[in-house]
Amino acid sequence: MVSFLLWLLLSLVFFSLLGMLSGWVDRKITARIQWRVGPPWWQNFADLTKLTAKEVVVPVTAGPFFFLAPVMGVAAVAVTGAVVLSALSGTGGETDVIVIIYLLVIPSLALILAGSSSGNPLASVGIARELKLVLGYELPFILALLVPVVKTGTTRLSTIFHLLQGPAVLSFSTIVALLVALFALLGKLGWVPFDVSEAETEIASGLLIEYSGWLLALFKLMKWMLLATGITFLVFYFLGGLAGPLTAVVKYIVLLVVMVLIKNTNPRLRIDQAMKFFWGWLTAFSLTAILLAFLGW
Amino acid sequence: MADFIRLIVAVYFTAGLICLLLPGRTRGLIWALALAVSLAGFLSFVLIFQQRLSYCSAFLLWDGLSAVVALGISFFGLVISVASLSTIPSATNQYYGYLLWTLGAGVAAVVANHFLLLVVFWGFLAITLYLMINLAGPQAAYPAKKTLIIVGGSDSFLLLGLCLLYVLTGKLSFSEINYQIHSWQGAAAFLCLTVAAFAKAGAMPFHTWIPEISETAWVPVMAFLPASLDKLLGIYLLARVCLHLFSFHPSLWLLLRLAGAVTVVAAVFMALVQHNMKKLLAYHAVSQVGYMVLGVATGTTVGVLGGLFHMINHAVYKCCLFLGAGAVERQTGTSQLDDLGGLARKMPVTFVTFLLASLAISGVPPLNGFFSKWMVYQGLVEAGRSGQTDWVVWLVMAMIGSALTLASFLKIIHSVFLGRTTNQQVNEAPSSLRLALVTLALICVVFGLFYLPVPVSRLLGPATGVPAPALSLSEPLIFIVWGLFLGILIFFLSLLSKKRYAAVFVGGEKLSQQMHVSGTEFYQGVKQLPFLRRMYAGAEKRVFDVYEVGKQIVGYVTELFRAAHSGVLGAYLSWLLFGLLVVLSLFLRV
Repeated sequence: MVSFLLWLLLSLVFFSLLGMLSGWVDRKITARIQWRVGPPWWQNFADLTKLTAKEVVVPVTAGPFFFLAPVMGVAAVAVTGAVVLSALSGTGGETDVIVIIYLLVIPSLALILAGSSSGNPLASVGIARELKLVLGYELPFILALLVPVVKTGTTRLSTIFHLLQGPAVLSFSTIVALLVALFALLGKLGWVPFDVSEAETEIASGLLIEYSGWLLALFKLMKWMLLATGITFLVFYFLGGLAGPLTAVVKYIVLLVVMVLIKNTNPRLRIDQAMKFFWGWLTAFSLTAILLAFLGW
Repeated sequence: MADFIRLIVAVYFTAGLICLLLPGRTRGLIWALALAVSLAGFLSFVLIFQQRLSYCSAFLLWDGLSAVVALGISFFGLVISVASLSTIPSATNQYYGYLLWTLGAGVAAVVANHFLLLVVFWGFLAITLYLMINLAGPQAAYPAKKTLIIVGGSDSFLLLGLCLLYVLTGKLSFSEINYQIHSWQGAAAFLCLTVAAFAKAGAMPFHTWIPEISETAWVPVMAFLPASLDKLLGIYLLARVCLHLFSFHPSLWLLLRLAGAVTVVAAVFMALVQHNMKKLLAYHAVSQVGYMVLGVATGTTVGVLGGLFHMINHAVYKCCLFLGAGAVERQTGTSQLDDLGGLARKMPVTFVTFLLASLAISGVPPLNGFFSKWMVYQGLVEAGRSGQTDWVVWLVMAMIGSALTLASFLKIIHSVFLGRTTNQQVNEAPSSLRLALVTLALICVVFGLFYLPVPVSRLLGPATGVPAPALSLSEPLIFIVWGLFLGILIFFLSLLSKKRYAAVFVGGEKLSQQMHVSGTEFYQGVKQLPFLRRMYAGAEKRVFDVYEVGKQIVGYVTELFRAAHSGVLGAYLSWLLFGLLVVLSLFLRV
């Protein structure tokens, strides 16, 4: 039992650090694209420290979930990370991909409950959009994650991690599914072009409008951890990351840079456009990927 | 043991009769009697259950499956008896009388081995269902009639199916039959029995009575019948038919899986756009049946176990949700989502239990709904391993249905408990109702955290007759428990930090009542999407309602016959003459 706690704490620390560094990569590349210099590598650590020192302003309408939701989000991502890490180490038991899919919904759930319990009308607009976004990306995300299941005939994570290596990685269906899953991850992170629920320029951060101080810091941390956990999971799930540590790092960085580039070269979509994109094109692509997987491509 | 079960059924019926004969003023007396009888019933079933006996005679069949369903029926009878006193407005004697009769008939139907016994009690259940809905007064008359026609109509299918089976096998009891379907008569018998199970449980396309009665029927009636008892009975019949009575070709499994998956998705899309809390819950009572049907229809041990587990789980959390909705309606006087808001602080117990049940029904780990859905998914994947490829479709539909469920429950949570606060004075629900809510919510948690030792091995292990397969999800579960522990620790530490309270910030403007964003408008965008727009338009015209479609067909047929009744004497006489000529020509030919 105690060893599980250690895994969880390891996951918390590891993915926080990795997430903040990845967040820095994001900020640096964004700055370079916009012809700015960009922040130093420790900027995110500094931001987090500063936020925790600030005063917390709580709206009078807030209930206890206002405080509980950010903690819940961070804990959920840490659990997801721990599940992935333990499956990687080979001690994973029967843990399967369905658990990951369900666990990865909880961060969005935490954001929605947080916005809802703040009682702010702008946050309500944000919730309405976030909920529709969740519905949108969840369908192609599930379909994409089923491609390796079809290929290997099992949902067990550790088996999939081990089986999908070498030539199997380079199959056509895996690459299509990976692309779809990357877009879904963008949606989960609320990155442009899917940042309607926060949309600083129209609803002033929407869901997070009432958050400040360490509560906001927790949500920032949750997003960074989600970034790191999400990409790590995709690297091992689709790209055979167990082949070697160096190649795994390279694959991680490539996926991260691709996401940052998508983020920086696209405008914000309206929520109906985002839903049509997810339920239309991306679903069609992921269905094609599943068909290809059945055909053995 | 057979005598003991007969005694319990007899006590249920007699007590029900006594309740009906007592005058309606003696509320306390009736309540005490109903409570005592349902408690005694529950305890005796616990006692019988623990002995793990099986028994089979010409009329009674007591095996793992009927044991768990009978235990469930008596448990929900007890919970509803406790919760209803404060929620039913009048007619206490009739209400409790029908409730006890329902319990007796339900138990009798579940332990019946002889077809005749099953048909009689099954029909009796349709009548008590009708009577209990009708208690709500004249506005419930139409929904009650519709229910009686759909559920009662399905009873004739039950009778037809059992008759066909008798013709085919020459036997009249469940325990003697395991029919291998190789003719169309066999398939027809199977489909007839499935229709009866579907109508009772509320699976598509025979679901329309549940949303119809939801707005008018009393909330405890909703929590008792469509939410828990009818699910137990319907899925019991389905499991009995699929697992014991027939063995058949995979193409029929395919049909069942299709019905299950379509039920999950279509009903949840209807739930998304509802404005009334009770109607929204009613559509979920339909949608969740899909998982149970899917689970049973996988034909694998894990899947069947998952389907039955989901049946129990659904009864628990849907009962809790309906009772929670009843508490809200009782304290505020409305169940329209538009008129509610910010009740979390005023009704904390109702809020927390409702939230737990909502998360459980949406399959958020580590609550019970997650594990039963997970087992159904495992069953589908396992069915895929034996060479079928259809499982991917059902798996995706079931999983997206789960996301949609979460979305529609967040709509309720936001509109009713969180979001804007209304100024009206609202008090917490009465203690009897709170007791029921807390019990049910606790079961959601316990059946989640200890899903393998408690419900799966102890309750359901005997029902499927095979030892529970390796279903270890213990690792993520322990992680989640530690995560919860750490989270709660951080949360309590955080309460120590310094905070400043301020008004809500809306970009510097003054907050007005018009700025309220209701949860009811959340999914208008979904309604506008190209394909869904047409489906919603069809649903509003009741194109998918089997009752309306049936009504139109019956109307069309009678219209044909009506045309012959012109009222002209000459026409009638020429018809007579024509008939006479036909009969004569027949005779002459012989």
